[in-house]
Amino acid sequence: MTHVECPVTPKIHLLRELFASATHDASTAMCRWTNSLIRLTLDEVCEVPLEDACSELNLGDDLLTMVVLNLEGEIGGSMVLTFSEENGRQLAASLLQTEPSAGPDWNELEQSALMETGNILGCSYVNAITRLIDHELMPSAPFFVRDYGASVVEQVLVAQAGARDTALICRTCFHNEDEELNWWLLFVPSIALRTAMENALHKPEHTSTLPH
Amino acid sequence: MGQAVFAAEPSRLTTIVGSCVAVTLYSPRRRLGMLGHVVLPQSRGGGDHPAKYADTAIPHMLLILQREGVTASELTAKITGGACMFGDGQFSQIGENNVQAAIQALESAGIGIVGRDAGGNSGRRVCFDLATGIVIVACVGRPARTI
Repeated sequence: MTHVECPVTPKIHLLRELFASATHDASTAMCRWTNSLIRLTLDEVCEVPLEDACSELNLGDDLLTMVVLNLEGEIGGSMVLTFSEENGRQLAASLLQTEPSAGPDWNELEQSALMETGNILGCSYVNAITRLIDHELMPSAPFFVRDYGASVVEQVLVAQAGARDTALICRTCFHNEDEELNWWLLFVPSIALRTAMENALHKPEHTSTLPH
Repeated sequence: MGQAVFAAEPSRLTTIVGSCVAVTLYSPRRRLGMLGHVVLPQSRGGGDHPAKYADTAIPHMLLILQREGVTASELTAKITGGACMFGDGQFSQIGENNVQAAIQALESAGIGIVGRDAGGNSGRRVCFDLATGIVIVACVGRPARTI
């Protein structure tokens, strides 16, 4: 994926602060889960025209391995954890303490390992957002998907497409020590969740206590 | 997403769809056509991005083709996409709804549907060849299909 340059409005700036905090929590959880130095950094929070969303993310025509986590309800959204085939296999093998498999299919254990990774990361974000908006969010069970990245992101963006012609995307990247990994976490809130976050961020008690 | 593109031979148009629907309109006589990437079924009066909605995308594409001297009666249509990639929540039916809305809009415009590869749970890579009108659909877990 390419780095996306987006104009920074005051709202986007506040949302970046929120997601940076959530990313910090997720990074800590990821280190514990993988027993290694894998950390997360917030890459971008931006609003892009809907028709450009997939091309801006440069998802390409390759098949990606993904874990999708939905936040159910009107105040919800979706998270998509994407891996290149190689990186996904390596993560699963590391978690299962086996050698990376090379076959075309993913066995149930490998899928479970990745889905649990998605769960852990997703819950970190959910907890941060819940603290902010003081509204319980309902994460779904994770879905393991191996498909064209753009086709998955499309369905995720539909929640915003009905009300707007732009999409808000939060993207987090992963590092193993100094090496950037070919993993990405995309968070796409629903319109209602986005509004709830923006409203909460504008409250004085939140702007003064938002961690850096 | 939400765009419609015009092209003529020897061009090829490619897109990837999940829950969205790719609609191709083709004139065999002129060897030109359009590929629309429809996101939602109904516009509900919104007109700023006509290609985004099935009910406005077809008239929008027809208008562009009419400016090229192509009438609806000489066009053929193919539909691909409309999958449910995951989940069973609020938006899990959107793919099927998109397919039905596209079919309805094409029928209303009097355009014959000569090919369809829709539904299921997988994304599709769609390649539309303007020289022949052939649409090649690649999907995970099965050989590429020609419609």
